[in-house]
Amino acid sequence: MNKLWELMRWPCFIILVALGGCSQSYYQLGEAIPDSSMNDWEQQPVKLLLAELGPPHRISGISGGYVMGWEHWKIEKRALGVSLGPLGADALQLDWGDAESTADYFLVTVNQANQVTAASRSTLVSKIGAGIALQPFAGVAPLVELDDLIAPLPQHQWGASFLLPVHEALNSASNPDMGTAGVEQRGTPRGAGQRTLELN
Amino acid sequence: MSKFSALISIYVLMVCAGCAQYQSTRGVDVNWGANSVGDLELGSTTRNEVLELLGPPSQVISTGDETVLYYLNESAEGRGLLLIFYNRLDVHAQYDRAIFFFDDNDLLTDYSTHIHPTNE
Repeated sequence: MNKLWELMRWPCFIILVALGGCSQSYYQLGEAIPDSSMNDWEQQPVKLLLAELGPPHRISGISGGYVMGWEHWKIEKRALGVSLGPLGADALQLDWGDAESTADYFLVTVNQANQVTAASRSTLVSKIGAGIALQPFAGVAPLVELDDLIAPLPQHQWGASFLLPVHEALNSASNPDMGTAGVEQRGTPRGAGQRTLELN
Repeated sequence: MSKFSALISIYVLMVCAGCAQYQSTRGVDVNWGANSVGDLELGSTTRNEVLELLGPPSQVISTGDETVLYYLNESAEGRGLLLIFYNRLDVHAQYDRAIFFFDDNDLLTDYSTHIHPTNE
């Protein structure tokens, strides 16, 4: 036993130092959408839908009625950082990270007679991103960006877009966050569509 | 115990010392429990009565002749294990919410509420 320890202690020590850090982050946003959302809701009174699913997470007025959205997200992020010091490169760190998500979204449009006119549910399991980096001293740049996926719901910022910089405030009337111009799923790219008006 | 073993033991104890727990809450007070909204009646309760009962909403939405009051309380709980070699973070966000629809006469036409079981 002692001979084994003599043999293994330095490799163990080097491994402990070299493994600079490993992290796992789990996010669960909201609760699972009931299976009853899969029923045929078209032309049904919206009150039946609300009784089944509860209030929606997102709602917006649209021409001729309104649109409501329910969502449930699970996100897992993994990262590993390894110092290359034991290999003689003291100033370098090797980082690796990836993330994946399971997004469940249920969208319903309702007319002014409070009847469901369309309903659609999607479940998407996707890889959000992955990266590997060789960085000096410590891992500074994040390899996988999650901020747009774990942001609070837009209701908390209702009206605040009028206080944004001018190029964004000019878009307030059409901003999905305002509740009068449609709803937007988490993670929607801002480089296309309505949000492009807000880009610098 | 050799000096080396003692150092390793101290090192392991040091790196096993971190943990974290946090909670964050955003939004309005959750006043829409079954006791408070049980008296609401479709077709007779007014928008003013709902506003008096629950206070200002998180969002007001106009849908043609109708008005929607939306109340949201978002709370997140996180637990973290912060070791040097291994870090783990679990975050669970839940949304307590209520929605009320009013016609052009300011009368309640429909409503729905949800409070997460752990908050009831």
